Amino acid sequence: MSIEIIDDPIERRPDKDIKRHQDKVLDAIKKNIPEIIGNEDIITARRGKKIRIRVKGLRSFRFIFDRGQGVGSGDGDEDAGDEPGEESFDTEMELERLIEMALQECGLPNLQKKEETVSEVFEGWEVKKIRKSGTWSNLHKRRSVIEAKLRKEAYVRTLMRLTGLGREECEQAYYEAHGDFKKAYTKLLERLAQSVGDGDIEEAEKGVEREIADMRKLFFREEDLRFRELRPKLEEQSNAAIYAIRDASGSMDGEKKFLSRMMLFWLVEALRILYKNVIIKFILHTTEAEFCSEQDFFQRSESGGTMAVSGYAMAHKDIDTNFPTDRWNVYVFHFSDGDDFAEKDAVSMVLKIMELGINMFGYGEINTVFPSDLMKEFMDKIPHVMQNEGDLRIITSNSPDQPFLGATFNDKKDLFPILKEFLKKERKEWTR
Amino acid sequence: MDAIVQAELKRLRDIKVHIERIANEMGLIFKEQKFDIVSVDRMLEMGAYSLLVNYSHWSFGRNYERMRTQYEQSGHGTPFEVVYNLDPRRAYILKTDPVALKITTMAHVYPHNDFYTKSVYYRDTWENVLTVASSARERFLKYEAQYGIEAVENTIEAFHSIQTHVDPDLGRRYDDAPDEKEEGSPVFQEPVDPFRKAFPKKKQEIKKVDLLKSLYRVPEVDIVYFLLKHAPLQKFQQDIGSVIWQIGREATPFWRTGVMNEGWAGFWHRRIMQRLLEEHLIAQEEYAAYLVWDSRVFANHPLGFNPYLIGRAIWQSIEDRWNKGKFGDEWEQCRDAYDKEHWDKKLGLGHQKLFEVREKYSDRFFIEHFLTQEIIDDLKLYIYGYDPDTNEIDVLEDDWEVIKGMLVMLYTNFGIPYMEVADDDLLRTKGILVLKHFFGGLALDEEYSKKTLEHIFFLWQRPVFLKTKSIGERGPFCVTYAYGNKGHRKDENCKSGHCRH
Repeated sequence: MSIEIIDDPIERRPDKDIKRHQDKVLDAIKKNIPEIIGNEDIITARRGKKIRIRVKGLRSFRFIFDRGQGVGSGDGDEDAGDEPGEESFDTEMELERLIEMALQECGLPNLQKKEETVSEVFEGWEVKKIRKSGTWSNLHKRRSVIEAKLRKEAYVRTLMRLTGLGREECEQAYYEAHGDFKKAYTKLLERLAQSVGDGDIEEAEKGVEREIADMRKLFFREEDLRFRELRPKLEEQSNAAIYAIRDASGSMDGEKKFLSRMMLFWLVEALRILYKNVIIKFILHTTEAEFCSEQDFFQRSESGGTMAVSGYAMAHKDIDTNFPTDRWNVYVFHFSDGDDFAEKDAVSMVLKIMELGINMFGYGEINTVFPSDLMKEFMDKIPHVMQNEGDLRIITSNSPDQPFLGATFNDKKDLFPILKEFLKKERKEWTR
Repeated sequence: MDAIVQAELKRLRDIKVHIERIANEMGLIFKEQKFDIVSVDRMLEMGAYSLLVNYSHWSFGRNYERMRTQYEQSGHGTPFEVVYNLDPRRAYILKTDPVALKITTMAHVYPHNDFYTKSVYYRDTWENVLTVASSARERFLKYEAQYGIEAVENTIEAFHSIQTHVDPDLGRRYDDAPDEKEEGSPVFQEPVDPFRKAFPKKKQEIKKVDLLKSLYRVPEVDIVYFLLKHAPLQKFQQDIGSVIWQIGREATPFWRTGVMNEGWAGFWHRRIMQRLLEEHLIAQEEYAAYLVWDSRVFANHPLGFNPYLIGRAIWQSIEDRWNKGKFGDEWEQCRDAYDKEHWDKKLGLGHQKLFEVREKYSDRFFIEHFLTQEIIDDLKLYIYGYDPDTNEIDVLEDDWEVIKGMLVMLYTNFGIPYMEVADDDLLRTKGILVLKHFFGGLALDEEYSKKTLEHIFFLWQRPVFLKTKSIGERGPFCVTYAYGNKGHRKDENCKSGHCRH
């Protein structure tokens, strides 16, 4: 017939080529992670969701004319849009996978086994097992008694079996022998061979008394003794507490809020991979500070001056009260644009916070000027090393008790190097 | 089978008979036509691979994904005129299309059928090349297993990058038929010899003596053929290259007549659909659906050239002009606007002229002879480019003669820059491949050119030069791009603005 309905062939030819192209695209994404990191959609996406990434398919090259010029038709005042002939397409990826890839590129290896930073906390003693030797203060009386009783019963039955005599006799023999089996047995044998003499009756009376008393008697052999073995009870805890502090003054405009949001997102994601429990607390400050919700943190603007010390003090108090650093890995991040009225107070407060034993204090300054007064004060008070890449400057402390990481940046492209630096430190130099 | 599907199929079969009758009445000449109704996936697949290709490469995966994304987002974008140039001809209809569009597709296919049947540029049917294409898949997969997927991919990519630079006439004239008994001949493929794998062909040492003796066919427009003959390729690369070369040769006629062909199909399907409506073979709503589709496909493009739109406009103009006698010396010399507008000699030669043109012309001459000022003004064609004054892409030119000149130049080779392997001493003395681009007003895209040179270097294994021109503030100036072991180099000359090369 001249028109037919044709079913699809079973083997789909494109599958292999689609997969191969996707592999190559993934490679390209990896190489482009620094740009993708700054993608807004990522930070607003929710967990478990597949996120669409716009990727320009890999190109095929040949000799073509420069498309900046050519012949068009119509009114010519519509938007050009994408480069013609170079449409990008969406590739879907799970958010977690993308985060994994991004962090991997930043130098966080082995993400398959969810590596967690686990700390151990002493909660008291617990009995690990019962041993046959130990110190007298650890004598486990009940277990020891049980052992002796078992032995006694075993001896008696054996005596009964060997001599054919009854339980009473054998137990008697046991008592007489003070629990010594050989002696008991010898005695029974003698008794069998010989008749009972006078002295024996007195012995029997005494024996009844003795028996009652003996019922309470147990002879402990060394093998019966049981001792407790103790070990410290440690609970595995994998906890991180993050304080996000932001300068809420009007000078932190939309762009700066966006950059701080982006930076915080990636720092939190990295910490989520390292710790089981992650709690984030948000603090906004002008000249005074207050806790706020996540949404407010990223959106609110206040008027007024800027005193970072107010935010730091609030964090300090909260850490001290609620998050003891022996159980919690505490990170404090502060984002500001460098304007501050009381930088000396601010920095001394930071030093106090660091004395509490936190893991890291990170200061992100979104500024084109370097150094600001606040940053200068940090650099004066903390021995450090500086790196710069264009406008980006990263200050890392080289004093192990003062885990400070500061950065002055103003562009999305700086996120990646800062994140890498943070993760490097996290892995090596400041582990407690 | 579903009752609804049955009913639809019957209707399509009935209407096919009518469409063929109408096409006949209109003068179209076509071979027997069969239609296959297929799924979206299959359609996308055919679009992604193009009909002639069957081997595996990631670029087809990319094409497929792109087309699929576009289809999912916009609801359209599948190729709708997939026509196999065989006898009988085969065309594809999308299963999920509403019946109005299925009928539109059929109406669109018959003029294509006629074009392939009558145009002098379509010599052969595709039987040979399809056999070559289908057997290639297995062999290439074996090469991937033997030599690694990257070796095969890179070879395919390199040949793809120059696939449009082939000459379909090569080998069809007695005096320059390629020597078919040569080892590694592009026409015959021997099965891969496992012993060859153990002793691979070494790279050709181009010694000075050999160079002088060797016969380079230069200048050579068929760059792929040149490389197949003279580049130090391994056996499997020869095979891959020759398959790609053969496919390129079959595809070239389409490139040379793309504007005409698409315009032709658009011109006639419009009339066929009108007739179907008049004869009550389709309903008003169905006709309306067709109109919506048509206006989208044959639309204006602000940054780009829509061959469908412009091709059809030219055909219309030809019919109109030859009917009214708007041609010849008298017409050319007339300067009276009123007369020109009301000119009508009632010659009725339109029909005859249409069929004559479609048989003999290629795009280049089609545009040169038949693209008029009226058409350019009607369609509001313009030239866009980078405007240094506004720092943006802007309309630079709407002088019809300039526009026409650019289009002719562009369509001399369907938007493919015209290049050849140059007859240059560097080739004979140092084994440097020199490509010459015939600059006609449009400069090459630099990034793409450089990357293509890298591909050619991959095959040629010695430095590759490209001589072209760029456009600066003072006009065009000479540029030579070079690529070799040490990377890219770019030389510029004649910048002072007096380039006469």
